[in-house]
Amino acid sequence: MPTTGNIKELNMHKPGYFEFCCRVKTLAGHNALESIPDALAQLQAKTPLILTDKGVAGAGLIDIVTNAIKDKITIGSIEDDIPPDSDLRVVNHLANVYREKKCDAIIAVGGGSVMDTAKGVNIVVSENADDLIKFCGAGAIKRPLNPLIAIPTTSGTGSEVTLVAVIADHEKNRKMLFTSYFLLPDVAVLDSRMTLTLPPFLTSATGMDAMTHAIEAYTCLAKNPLSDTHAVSAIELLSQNLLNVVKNPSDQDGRLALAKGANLAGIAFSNSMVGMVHTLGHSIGSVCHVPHGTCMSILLPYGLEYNLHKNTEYVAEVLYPLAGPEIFAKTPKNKRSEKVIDYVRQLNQDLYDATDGRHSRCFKEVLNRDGKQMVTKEDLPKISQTALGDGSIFYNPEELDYDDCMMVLEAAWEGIPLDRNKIKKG
Amino acid sequence: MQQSKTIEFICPVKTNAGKKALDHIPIELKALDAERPIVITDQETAKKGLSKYVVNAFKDSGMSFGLFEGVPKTADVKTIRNLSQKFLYKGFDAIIALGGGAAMDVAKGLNIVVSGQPDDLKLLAGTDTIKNRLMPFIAVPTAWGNGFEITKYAFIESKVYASHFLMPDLVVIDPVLFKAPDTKLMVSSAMIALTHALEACIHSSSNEFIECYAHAAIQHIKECLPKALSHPKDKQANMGIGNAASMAGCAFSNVTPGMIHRLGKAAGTMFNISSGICMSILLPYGLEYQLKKNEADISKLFHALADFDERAQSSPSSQLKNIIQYIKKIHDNISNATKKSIPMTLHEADISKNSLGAIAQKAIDNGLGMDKDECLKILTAAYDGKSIH
Amino acid sequence: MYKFLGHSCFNIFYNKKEARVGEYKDITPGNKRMKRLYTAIMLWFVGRSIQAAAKIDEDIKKEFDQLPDQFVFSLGVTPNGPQMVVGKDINGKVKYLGSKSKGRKINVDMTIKNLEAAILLFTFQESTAISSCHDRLTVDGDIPSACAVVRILDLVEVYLLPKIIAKLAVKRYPQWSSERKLIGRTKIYLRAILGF
Repeated sequence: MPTTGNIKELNMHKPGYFEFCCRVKTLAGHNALESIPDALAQLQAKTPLILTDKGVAGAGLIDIVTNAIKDKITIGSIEDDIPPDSDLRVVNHLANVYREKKCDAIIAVGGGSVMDTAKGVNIVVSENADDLIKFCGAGAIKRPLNPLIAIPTTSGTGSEVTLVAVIADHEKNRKMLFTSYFLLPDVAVLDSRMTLTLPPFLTSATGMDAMTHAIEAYTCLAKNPLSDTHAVSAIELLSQNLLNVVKNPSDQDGRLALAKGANLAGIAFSNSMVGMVHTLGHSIGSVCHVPHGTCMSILLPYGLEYNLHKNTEYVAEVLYPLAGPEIFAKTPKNKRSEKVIDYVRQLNQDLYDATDGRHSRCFKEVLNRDGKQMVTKEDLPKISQTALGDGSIFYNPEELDYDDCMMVLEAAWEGIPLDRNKIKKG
Repeated sequence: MQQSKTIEFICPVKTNAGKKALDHIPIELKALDAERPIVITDQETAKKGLSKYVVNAFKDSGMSFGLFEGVPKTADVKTIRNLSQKFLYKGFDAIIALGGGAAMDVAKGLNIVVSGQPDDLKLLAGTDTIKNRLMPFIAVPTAWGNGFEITKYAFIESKVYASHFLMPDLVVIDPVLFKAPDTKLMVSSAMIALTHALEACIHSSSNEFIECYAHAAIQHIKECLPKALSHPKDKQANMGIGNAASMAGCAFSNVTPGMIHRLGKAAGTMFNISSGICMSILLPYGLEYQLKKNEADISKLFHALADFDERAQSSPSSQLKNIIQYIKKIHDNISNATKKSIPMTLHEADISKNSLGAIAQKAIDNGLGMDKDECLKILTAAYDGKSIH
Repeated sequence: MYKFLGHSCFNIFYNKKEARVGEYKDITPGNKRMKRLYTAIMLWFVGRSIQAAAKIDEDIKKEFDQLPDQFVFSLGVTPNGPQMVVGKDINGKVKYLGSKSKGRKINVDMTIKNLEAAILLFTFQESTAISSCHDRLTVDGDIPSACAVVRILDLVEVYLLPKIIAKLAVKRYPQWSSERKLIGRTKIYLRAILGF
């Protein structure tokens, strides 16, 4: 029943203390790539090294980038030999190429691993580092690095706005974690042409990855007023465009909206962290090598169910940007958080239908290229054990021990909702 | 494929806000590779005894610093020059500005000089003339400012400097610094923030990224202004206004100043009234005019002001009315809380009807892209306190 | 006359011995002695309690067993604040290793960013989880081990603190029998204070 809609004072979540930072300049549009030469000039750079991987190059995206910029600047080199997992040897090799070709900037075109590698190379060339390990840990990088422009090709991981980089040292069998605001790219370029040819099943998985970032950022412990507005904007853009773009891949406006949404979601979660969906999702990724986006889409409703007793009012608020004003108005206040969970499940179902089953709804139906199941019930104990060592576990509203992880994983494997009576409430 | 405009957004500012925010300053300096800051504040702030909180924040940090408490009411080149000599002589490597407008402007001017050449202060006036990063700069707003502290602008002896390189690397908002209950100044600050945030939302260059900061600022005003009016000593409420001013400044720095800002500033300068009060007076009339001209902006602004329940339940035809009603409600709230000591119309502010033309002309001369007639319509409505049509 | 005034202002500005109130000063703030002392005592006590608790509690023992050999972690206030170092010796025994981490290999280094944040933590105004959400802590080192350390700290807090306070310090208060809590608490307090 529409009322006069008088504006009242709203209840904003204000933590006792918070920090928020996103120094990345964002350029977004259907022709955003053409702004890169000016952006480089403002950073006083003119010879970029373009870093990408074979998949991106194969899709013709590098040609689009070079065509947009080659009239105005000289490209130092284009390197596309970046593996799916960032590697120290590759980083050192690319740093040498940077120096040999006398480059003064990096343009990274790709997804998470390209961005991480680019950040690693930037540390090496800017600090003249012979041993990257010296720059590990918080606070080790204290000065601005050389110019770095990030062009994401999925919508997405949001790694164009995260302040972390993970580089694996396969020789010494260790993973190096770098955290610093100076790792942030100077510019993030969101151009609809970069995701235009992303196949539907990848669009849906990466889109749900972004959706998870935004929803977890809004509902977990470290939320703050600025990350909240970014998360709400992200959820709106993603929700209004994801299914549509999966069904109509060449919808350019939709692609741009998803790119903005994923970027905003990245800004949100890098300032307020994520929770158990990432805790469990990272672990499934590392144990069974299931793609990150798939893990996120499947686990999102379970994460919401598990934490509901602790953050129900925040989850209820998510209904507005997620489902829109009509559904929000129609749903009584005390049913809104459950409606969010149903809506997410329905979204997964719709994406499953729209991708002919390639967007998975539960772990038992995740298959590899040979049609083999990627996650078996026997894997679940190892996944639970690994999850206990994931840093995001701190930011989850409710405690998570081995048995809790098993309970959630079993339900997510089967594809049945969590029995909320079985949740141990803190 | 259509040709479309590429949207742009930048915010170089990190925000640290809340309890014990000051105490994080030493480690933030280290992260910026600095360990010897100069702390600059104005005489007013020093008299209120607020410098001691900064001193306390550095206890146990192993850092020493210089403290200059002599910034006058408006920033001047002489102070900047003296400070720059001190800065270079003592080998400081960071600037911390504590207080309101003048201290921040001096800090920004100082940063220009010590990061480059002394002559730069004359040469670099204008927009986007600065090409390089400056030295680490931390802004610690305290009492009520002029709304330009956390923006890309600096005003030094009638010259304007505009560059995002001038914005602080870090803004520190700590409730202990928001004790002084000067309601008039607080209202001015809050209304500048509200004006900046609302105008940023309906600006022609607005985008989702700008709106994130603008929305957060508006939410803070909605929540904290009523409390700060009814409980002037409430530090959290006052700090919320400070937060709003900072976020609104970040949004404002990504668009050009809007109509209400320009008219408000013109009126304020000409009649020596706080710009914030002028903007507050003009807000409902300016918005009404603008929204009737561009009806597509109505739902955008309603989106920014209303919470989810209100948005879901409102009918599009009632949104404009509700926006104006809300602003008027804020006016009433302010009026009641301050026992009508703050003017709510230009008439109450002792501005004569004859001078409205001059105000419009001044705003137009300073860059407002509107006809004098249009401005007069708004100013007259604001003079009488009556709706435009 | 104005030149003269300007000149004397300049002199006053530079001559810090005669600095006017409100002009320039050099400041080297001291220490917050009481807060340092309180934090040092709390850290010492928590360190010794961890050593004691590892002997008598199965869950804590299990967590430590799963950590690498000679694992050492530290929790302290930066830059030169009070600190506690705890680790496993060559025989796998958990020991409080003192208040200085210099010269040791530290696997997990948990730093509290300033003394005020430490006070908030040790007066239970902010729990460990809230403190990390408030960006008051940094954790360097092996993250999975850091997760184990936080779980160990939570368990020790349940022993050391009465339920009313412990419930604020941990996310989910465990369902232990009153015997386990009472006997455990007594043993840990005794061992921590007496040092065996």
